Amino acid sequence: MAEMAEASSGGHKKGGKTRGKKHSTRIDMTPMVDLGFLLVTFFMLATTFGGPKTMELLTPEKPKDGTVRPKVNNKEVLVLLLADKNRIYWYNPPEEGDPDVDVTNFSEKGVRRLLQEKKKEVAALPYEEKEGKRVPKKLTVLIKPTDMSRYKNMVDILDEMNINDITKYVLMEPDPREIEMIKNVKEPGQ
Amino acid sequence: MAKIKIPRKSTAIDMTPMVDLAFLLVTFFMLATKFKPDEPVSVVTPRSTSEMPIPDKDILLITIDSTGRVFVGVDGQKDRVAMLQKMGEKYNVAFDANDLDVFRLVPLFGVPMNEMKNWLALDVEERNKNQKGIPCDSVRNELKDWIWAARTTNGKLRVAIKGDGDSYYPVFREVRKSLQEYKVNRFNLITSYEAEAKPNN
Repeated sequence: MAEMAEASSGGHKKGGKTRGKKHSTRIDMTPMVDLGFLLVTFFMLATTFGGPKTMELLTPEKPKDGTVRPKVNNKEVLVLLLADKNRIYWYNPPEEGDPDVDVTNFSEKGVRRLLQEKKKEVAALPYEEKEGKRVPKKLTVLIKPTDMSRYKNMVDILDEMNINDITKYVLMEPDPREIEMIKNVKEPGQ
Repeated sequence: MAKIKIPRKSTAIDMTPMVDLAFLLVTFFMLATKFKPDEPVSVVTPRSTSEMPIPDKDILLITIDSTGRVFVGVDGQKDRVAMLQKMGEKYNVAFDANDLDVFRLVPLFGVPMNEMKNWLALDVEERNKNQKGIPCDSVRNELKDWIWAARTTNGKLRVAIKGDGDSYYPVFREVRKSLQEYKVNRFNLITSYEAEAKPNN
């Protein structure tokens, strides 16, 4: 390599002096480079870029006895029941009688579209007068994970809330009545 | 026509800058790498679009694995010892200096209190295998007491929940209820990051 070329060019003798064989000070760096890049590759693969992230969840305090829960207008409410096999059952609570329960999934065309539609519907409702100010209506989502749902489902739905800028949502337990309602809903595609 | 002689050049190149660069990168990655601590359970966290990093100090980590076992871990070694002592008093289990020394180095554990003393006597590999999870149902809730022990030991502790995506929701519900008992109403769910375009509406 480099030192070979050097050695041959400086090989001729001068003035007949006998010198010790001149060794080049250069060394072959190829193995060193190999090792260097091997280590680079190793540490690159071992490094986890962008480690785990976190999602903050604020939950209400344990209600004291006799606390009255705030009432919400049924028109502004969307109830999502998380069930097994990544299914979401949803309904708008009617003024009276049993609600129509529908089923959707976690895809972009599923729950995300639903949330966006409902958000628009609620925003189109007439304004509310409060202390002389006009307060626009906001969608309230009640998230009720059933016992059959997975932790992932809950994280996904909370994430959907973030994505769709829905600020009013509650994580609560489903009523036994609602679990009964789910059972009566037809499977999609049946 | 005279031929133009092209001077013959050596094909060898000077590799010194390349070596410099390579080792610079090695140094960088060596310093930047933080090796994952040995975890007794593997948990696949669900993905989310949240970009908030986890604080690296003063964390009470509650882990839920895919089979629904619950584990607790605290990062401070002094806190760990203090917690175990408190729990020992509460459950009438006497831990000697040896037990405390072992427990000091345990990053994550999921053992009921009645088995804790025997568990600490095992060696590391056996210890990682024999973990049933901390009971946290309504009949026997030891998780609640661990949270109490942690909160009274270090008031700055923040609670993070690292759940496996496939674990069933009721386990999380029990954990949440236990946290609520001690007025921990703000906690972090650990997720892995997933870039997602915001919908344009």
